[in-house]
Amino acid sequence: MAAVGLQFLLWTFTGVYMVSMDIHYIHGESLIKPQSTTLNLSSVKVSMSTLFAQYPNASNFTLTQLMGSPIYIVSTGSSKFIVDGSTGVRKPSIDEETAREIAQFYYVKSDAIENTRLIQSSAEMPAELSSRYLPVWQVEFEGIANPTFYISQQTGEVVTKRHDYWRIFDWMWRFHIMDYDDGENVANWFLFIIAALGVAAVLSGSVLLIVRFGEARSEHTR
Amino acid sequence: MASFKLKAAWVHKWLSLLVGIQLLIWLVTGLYFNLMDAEKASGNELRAAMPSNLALKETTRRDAFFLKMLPVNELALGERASHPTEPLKKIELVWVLEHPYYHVISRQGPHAYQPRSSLLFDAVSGNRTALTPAQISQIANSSYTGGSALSRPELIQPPFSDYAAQQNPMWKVSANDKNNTAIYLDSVTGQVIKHVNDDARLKALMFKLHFMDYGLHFMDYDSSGGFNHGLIIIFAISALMLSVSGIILLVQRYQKGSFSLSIFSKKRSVSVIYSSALPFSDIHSNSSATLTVKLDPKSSLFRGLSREGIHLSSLCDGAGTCGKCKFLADNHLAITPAEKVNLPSSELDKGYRLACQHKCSEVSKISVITVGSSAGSSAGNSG
Ligand code: FES
Repeated sequence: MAAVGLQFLLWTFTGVYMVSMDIHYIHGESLIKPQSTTLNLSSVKVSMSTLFAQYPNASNFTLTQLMGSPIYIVSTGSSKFIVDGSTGVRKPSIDEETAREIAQFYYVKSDAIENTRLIQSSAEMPAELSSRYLPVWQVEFEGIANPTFYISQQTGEVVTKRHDYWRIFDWMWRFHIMDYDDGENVANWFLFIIAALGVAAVLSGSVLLIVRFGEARSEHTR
Repeated sequence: MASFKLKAAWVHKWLSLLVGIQLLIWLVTGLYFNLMDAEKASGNELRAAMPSNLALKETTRRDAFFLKMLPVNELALGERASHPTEPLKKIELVWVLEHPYYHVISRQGPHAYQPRSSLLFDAVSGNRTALTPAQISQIANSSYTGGSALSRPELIQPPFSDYAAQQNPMWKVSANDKNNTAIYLDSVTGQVIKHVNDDARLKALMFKLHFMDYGLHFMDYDSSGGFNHGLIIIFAISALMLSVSGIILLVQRYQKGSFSLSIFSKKRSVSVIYSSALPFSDIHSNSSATLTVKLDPKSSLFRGLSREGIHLSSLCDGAGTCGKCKFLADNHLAITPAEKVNLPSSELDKGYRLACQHKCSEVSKISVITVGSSAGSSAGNSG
């Protein structure tokens, strides 16, 4: 039962953190500078029909902006690449220098970049990143709470933002669902046993509570 | 420290009254999440796997080159007049039933359920268009493997009971099956957003209960429901204080030895000379009102005696603040700080101590004044 008590403490402590921190803040949405530049169609000189002719394997195009200038993101089912919207020239995949430039362009503050590295396989991938975004550039800033941007090497998009508030949240979640290995499995035996004992504890607690309040009442009336 | 204990007990009692029921709801719904069949609860039981580009056929893709699509810079975007102030953000090429469309987006959040402003243009004609209910029916049909009849599509506005977070309108198509499947599609592009059935609704209900999403919105970070709101924050903090006060009580009771962890320890035999009124009987007398009791050595003398039906006078129930639980011992006992405060030094010199301040193991013969009928009768019977 002491284990149940300890887990109650963990559940409530982690619960307080998770409900009181704005989930959008946790997701690092405030790390991105709000973008107000309009996609300027008059500078788009390449049509989607031309792109179809040029890239017969492509199925979808998205006209969007990278650091304020128009680009097409071309999807070919298995991979993506970018084409300059005004010149129609296919851009090489993002190199380190461009990745740093992108990171600084979208980062809301002006902290210096501490570290940049390319992550290509799930073997070298930190747990805070999803493998569907590979390959990505990891750009770490020097600021408070260690903000980190992950920038797609193929498209230059900031695909994931992380800071320590997210990392703490992730640990809180693990302690909350009592999955102490990879933090992904809610259906674990440990949680079942402690939660079932917890139900018993709460029920016996409510009996005690009724007794306590009953006693208090009879003392008053005495 | 003593008054701290009292506070912990008081806090614990009242907080448990406040959060008790929600605590049970948290645990029971937690058990549900632990045991649920995630596959079923996803609602996708009868959902066909469809590529994100709405099942674009290879031949269509190959022939796309021959389609004369209107270049995006020739689109009559003036028709976005409904949102003239919103800047253009993005244009996606989307395929709906083998035909290309431009999805022109002027506002979009990081999550698809957040408010979005966008319009659909036919990529070939360049005309502003909207998907027809017939097209929506066809898409819904192709995403549904259940074989039951589907209702006519209905364009509905948020909020949705089946998708609380969604803040954009959606098409809804209902299937006449026993699991009450509903298919929700994007109001502009016709993409299938989700299938919801009774299994998924049960899961959603459990989340609502776990997140205390009872529709009392205050201090919401956004209106999308979920778990960031004032009510749950108050309850979570209360539950945390309940846990902390519980652990404090646990540790204190353990230290005091009033715990059944000591079931296995050897009982201590103590002779008690009792009287139901002052003065105290002489500790060295061999009064007939003497009783030998077996006490738990780790318990406080106050609790140990009380468990044997010998109740000493007390206002603070063993917290060491009232100074009422006096007794005399035949051996010398150390004076605790609570005793220094609550007993005059003349009494301390004569050997008076407070029963809540000493363990049963410290004494072998004591003299006490009892209160309450149960002590009297119990002592009388055994003596
Ligand atoms: S019970 Fe109050 S001081 Fe001992």
